[in-house]
Amino acid sequence: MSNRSPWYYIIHWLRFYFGAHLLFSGIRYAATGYVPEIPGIGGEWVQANANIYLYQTVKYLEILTGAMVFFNRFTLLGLILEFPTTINIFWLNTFVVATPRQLFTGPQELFMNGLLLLAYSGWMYAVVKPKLDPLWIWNGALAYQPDIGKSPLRK
Amino acid sequence: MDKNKWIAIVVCLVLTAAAYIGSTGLFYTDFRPIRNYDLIAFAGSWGGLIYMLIRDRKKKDD
Repeated sequence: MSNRSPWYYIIHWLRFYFGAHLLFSGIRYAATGYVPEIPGIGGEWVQANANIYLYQTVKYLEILTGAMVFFNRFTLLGLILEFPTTINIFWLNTFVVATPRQLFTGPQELFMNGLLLLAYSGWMYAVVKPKLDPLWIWNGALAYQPDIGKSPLRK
Repeated sequence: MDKNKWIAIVVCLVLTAAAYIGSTGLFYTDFRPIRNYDLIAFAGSWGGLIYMLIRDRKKKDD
């Protein structure tokens, strides 16, 4: 993306926003144990997640992914790791809790993570192909070749 | 500061206003004062953008 384009700064602004948003959410939980009060079955679901320690895991993951996104270190990996949580928040807020404010914050979460994924996924585009040979992660250096997707180890 | 940077700033202001309205419920539901959660995100995003604009101030665009 050219830094002459307005998109360049808009995407970076959104990256800082989403990163700070995740960092605050995760660090607030780590520091204070704050869990939002959610009415109805959505609240029961969140409580069930806390009972099996999934909620806590997600909060600490938010600190990690928030730092990755905010400080622009492994940004695309951070966005991918955060996406399952984003889908959960989107679904819960939009279709389950569905109070007026949650009808905003649910889609907002998906908008932020989704737009950032679109903005960074150009890097993945070359390898998202219908046919792809397996390539172990530790052989990743071999991926940098003109015929991307076909294993360099295959004869 | 060229025209495209100003366009980016205006778009970010619109996004900030949208996030403010969405969080507080202004115009559409019971008003709730802005939370620290939102203020930290605003501070992070604007601080980061201003940092980048200062960093790129003298850089020739490519």
